[in-house]
Amino acid sequence: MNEWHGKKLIKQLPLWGILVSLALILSFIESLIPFYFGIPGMKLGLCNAIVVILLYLSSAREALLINLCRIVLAGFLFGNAFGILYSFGGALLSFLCMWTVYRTGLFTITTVSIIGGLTHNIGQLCVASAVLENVNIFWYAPALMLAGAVTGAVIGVLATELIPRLRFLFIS
Amino acid sequence: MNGMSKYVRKNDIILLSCIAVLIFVSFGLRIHSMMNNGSTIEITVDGKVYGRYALEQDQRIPVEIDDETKNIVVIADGEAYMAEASCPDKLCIHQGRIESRSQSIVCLPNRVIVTVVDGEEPEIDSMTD
Ligand SMILES: [Zn+2]
Repeated sequence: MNEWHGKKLIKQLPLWGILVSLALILSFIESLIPFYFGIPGMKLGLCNAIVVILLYLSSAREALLINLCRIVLAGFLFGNAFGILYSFGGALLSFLCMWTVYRTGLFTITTVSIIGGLTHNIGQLCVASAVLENVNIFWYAPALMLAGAVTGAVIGVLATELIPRLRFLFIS
Repeated sequence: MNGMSKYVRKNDIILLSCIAVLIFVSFGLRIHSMMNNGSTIEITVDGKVYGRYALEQDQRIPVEIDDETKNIVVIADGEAYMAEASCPDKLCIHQGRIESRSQSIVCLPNRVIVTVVDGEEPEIDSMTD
């Protein structure tokens, strides 16, 4: 049992490395796009693509793990402490919501991704509100929800196309 | 379509419509609050409220103390500033324009304070829960 687990881990490790690097590249692209809603540190959430794909092809645990690694690394590379905090808020909320919607088995990949994009921005907003001790910034919520839903839809369509094509990577 | 698209099916359309309505309503609330958010300035003299004036309305407000006009506050383009003052230092005039909540202009010699306050409480709670 333990040996099997070890073998599986060793087999998975290179793939995880590639996935974290891929997520980092997306984070970098994201850091280049000026997406400013008046709140410092807000991000678009392109990396939700990796989370969605892993949710379908691998496991929820792996999806969360790789995203958290990505956030810490990206935070040190292209961001700051606030960035990490915002990202954690966004990532955790969107992960929980996507996982819930995914587990119902009632919805398509696109919808899961839209939920992810939307709640990602709400999560960031909640953290921003706590950090800045200001509830008025919730007035950004409508614009952020819309932006998140649109990003989520684009990523969802992309993930729908990619998931069947990437399945071979995860068959062990 | 007929419910078999690879991207969205019937369930998705139902859920996404609900979300669309939620976003639409929140935009409505936002616009509503912006229209009703008639921010106001409150002028106090010697710690007592002298008057409240809407920032939306351009006006000249003479502040009279003991039947003498001591300061003149002007509201223009949604901003308020001290236009004239009888005080010797004129610091209040140099404090510039205010428009955001809890910004203020203080004329210490005349004990006149102009502060931006909320006309109405924003309905933030209805959106966050
Ligand atoms: Zn003065």
